[in-house]
Amino acid sequence: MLKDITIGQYIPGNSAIHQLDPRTKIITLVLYMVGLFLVNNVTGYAVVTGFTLAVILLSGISLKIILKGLKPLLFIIVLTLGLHLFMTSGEIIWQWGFLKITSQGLRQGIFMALRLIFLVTITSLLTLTTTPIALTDGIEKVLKALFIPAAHELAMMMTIALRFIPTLIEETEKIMKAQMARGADFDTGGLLARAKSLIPLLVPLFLSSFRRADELAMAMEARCYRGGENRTRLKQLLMGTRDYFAFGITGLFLAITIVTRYMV
Amino acid sequence: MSITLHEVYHTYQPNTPFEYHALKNISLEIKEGEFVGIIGHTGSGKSTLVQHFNGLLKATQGRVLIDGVDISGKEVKLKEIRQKVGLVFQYPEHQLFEETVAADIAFGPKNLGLSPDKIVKRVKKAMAMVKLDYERYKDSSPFVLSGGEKRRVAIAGVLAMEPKYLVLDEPTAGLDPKGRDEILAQIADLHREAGLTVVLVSHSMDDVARLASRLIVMHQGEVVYNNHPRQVFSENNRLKNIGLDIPTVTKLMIALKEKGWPVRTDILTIEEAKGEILKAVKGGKPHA
Amino acid sequence: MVKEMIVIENLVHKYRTPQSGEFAALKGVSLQIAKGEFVVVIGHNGSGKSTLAKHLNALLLPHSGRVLVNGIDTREKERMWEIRQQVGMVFQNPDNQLIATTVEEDVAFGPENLGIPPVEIRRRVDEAMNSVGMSQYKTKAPHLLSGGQKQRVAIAGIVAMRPQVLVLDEPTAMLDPVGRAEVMETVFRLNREEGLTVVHITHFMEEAAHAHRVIVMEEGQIVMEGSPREIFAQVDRLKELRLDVPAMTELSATLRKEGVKISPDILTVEEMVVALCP
Repeated sequence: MLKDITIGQYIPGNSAIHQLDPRTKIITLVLYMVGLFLVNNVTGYAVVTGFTLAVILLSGISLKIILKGLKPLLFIIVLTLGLHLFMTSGEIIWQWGFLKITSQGLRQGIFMALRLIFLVTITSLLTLTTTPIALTDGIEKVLKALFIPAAHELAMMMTIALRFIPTLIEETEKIMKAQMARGADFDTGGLLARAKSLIPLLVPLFLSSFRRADELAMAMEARCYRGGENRTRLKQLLMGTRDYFAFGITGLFLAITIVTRYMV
Repeated sequence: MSITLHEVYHTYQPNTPFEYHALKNISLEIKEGEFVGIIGHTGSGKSTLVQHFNGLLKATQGRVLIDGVDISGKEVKLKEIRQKVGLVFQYPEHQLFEETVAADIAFGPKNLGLSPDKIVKRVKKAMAMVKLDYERYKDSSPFVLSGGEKRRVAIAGVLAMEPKYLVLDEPTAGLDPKGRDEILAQIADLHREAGLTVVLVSHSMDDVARLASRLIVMHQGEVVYNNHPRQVFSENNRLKNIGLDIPTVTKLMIALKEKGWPVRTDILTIEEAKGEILKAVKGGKPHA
Repeated sequence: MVKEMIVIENLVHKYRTPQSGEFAALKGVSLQIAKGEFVVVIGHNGSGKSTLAKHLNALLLPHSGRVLVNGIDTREKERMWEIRQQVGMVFQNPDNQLIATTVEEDVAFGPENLGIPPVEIRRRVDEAMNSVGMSQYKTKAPHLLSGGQKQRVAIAGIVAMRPQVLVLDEPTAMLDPVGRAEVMETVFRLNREEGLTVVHITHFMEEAAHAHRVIVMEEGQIVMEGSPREIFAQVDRLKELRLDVPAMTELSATLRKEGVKISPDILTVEEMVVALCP
């Protein structure tokens, strides 16, 4: 069922990670990614693994939920692993017909797969521990600080998208059923037939989205919305000791990854 | 020949924290030629129920039989079931997608694999059934029509499947009184003149009371009444507990009876109420 | 002292459609609404009632004639936001007017746009959610609410802007009876207790029964105007306009035709019982 898709799902909690300022989380996430792409040896990956596990533990989010989030990516992870495993040249450690695995390939494959897993894990940890509003607020503030134009508009678009995803999923299901009641078939036939069968679903869906957009725009105008200028917020973002501490630790993490890359 | 449900249960998202029992032990039968009203609040399970009639939803437990055929059977073609049981969803105009009215109504027959001239015949017939002039409307875009007209096009789209059973989920939702009366009159015609078996899902007691010969009242996933409207409404207090209203005239007759008037309480229309009150007035009403 | 909150003088508004060319949605409407009044506007789709509503907060502007809100002409561009703060508007589709991902953030949206300090927003949001009975849902996502609850959130979002007038453009059209009752009860309470001027647009006759004044519109014009009793008593005229007549009013009219001596302006079952059993 479409309803099982969880985009930007937030799991309420009171952990240290939950309580961080969203700006802190976004910036440290970027620093973490830099570190993740710097490491290139066993020591480095050991550091990253330890750090990642520590963050997950701190967040209080169960490992089960994180693994569930990785499931849709399983194919890509396996593909990455396989490509590196079989395509890297070097010292052969196993061979079967034209398939051969090299020790370099094994190493590279595991590294790449881990990199992918950690990347997704930590990014999903951000959405799992941050309310959509705090997240968009944080993104708006960070973009503004970087002098990126239309920061407010981008954040507003994200808010509206998050608000309307469940509504549109519900609507998709309804239209699909209504067309199925008229004998439509969305599941069988070749690729072309299937693509064609989507027209009776997509046209009404787009039309209703345009209608929604139109009505929403009018409702926003009626509530005095006129862009980001002079706008105040119900919730103010405030950085505290916890946030400075998070920056410190992530900085340290980054430093260690640099050391493992260039000095070990 | 009938739609028969035998001990049907439906559970959404089973074995998860979001598990929700939408239908609990539903057994009912809708016979060919009947006009049945299904009433209940939002969330009472009535929409879930009707989606079992044409196999859009599968019973978690229990059996659904259409004209004696269990629709969960492997050899059953759901397309045939959906042709037999036409389902008009709430706000059906939201499913329109073709450039012209005629093309949109033809969608169903086309899916049934009919020949082009048969399709045209069906489109004409369906448009006549909802009183849309074929020549005038066939080439216009459905999206420029009024709300009431759009809805009729959508209903025609289901009628063009030539169903034996027509199930309508809140067909008057969002319409103004004029549009509502037109649609209800047409549904009554479909039953009386075209001989369709009609199942009308609604939360308006007044609408259903006037039209249906049988009323199924749903509450929290269960059938709490399944009887003639007169019988159902005479149990005023239980309906009130569910939070459903009885028609205003029925309410009046119950109030008058409580005052000691010799009137019947199984009254559904203003005409009937007038007759009963006049009889009581002329016969010398008792002063309580 | 009666203060006119809204003055509409000879208002004309035209739409241009690709099929039929120019089409006058409002053909010279004049109307005055007093402070604290509860006015219900009834009419069919296409009668011009929604077009009229959108003139009350400058979402649409007159092609001729004028609209004054608290003395301000809606055509004064530089005072548009002032007008929109004073005249809050709730729309038909509950799904298409909630913007934020939680109830309280949505209620805060209007005050945020007005640039009100956070502490004050907090106070207003809590008050507004309380006044529509939605406080316990403040951190819920809008899509998990019922239709009636969504509309109450939308009303709270307006109330938090502290308007003088609440315009409701068919807020109950898409709701079930329970949702409709919830919304009407909320609106009547806001009128009674907070003195909010209310303009309620609907095609459900029974929602007009408790209004101060009923306006009936047809083809861009006001065709009937008066107290609910005055309007409902004209059963034949209402039927001619194909509007609903409350069942008891219709019954009293048919009984009168049969010679039963009862008042023509009976609205409720209770009144009918009293009339028949004096």
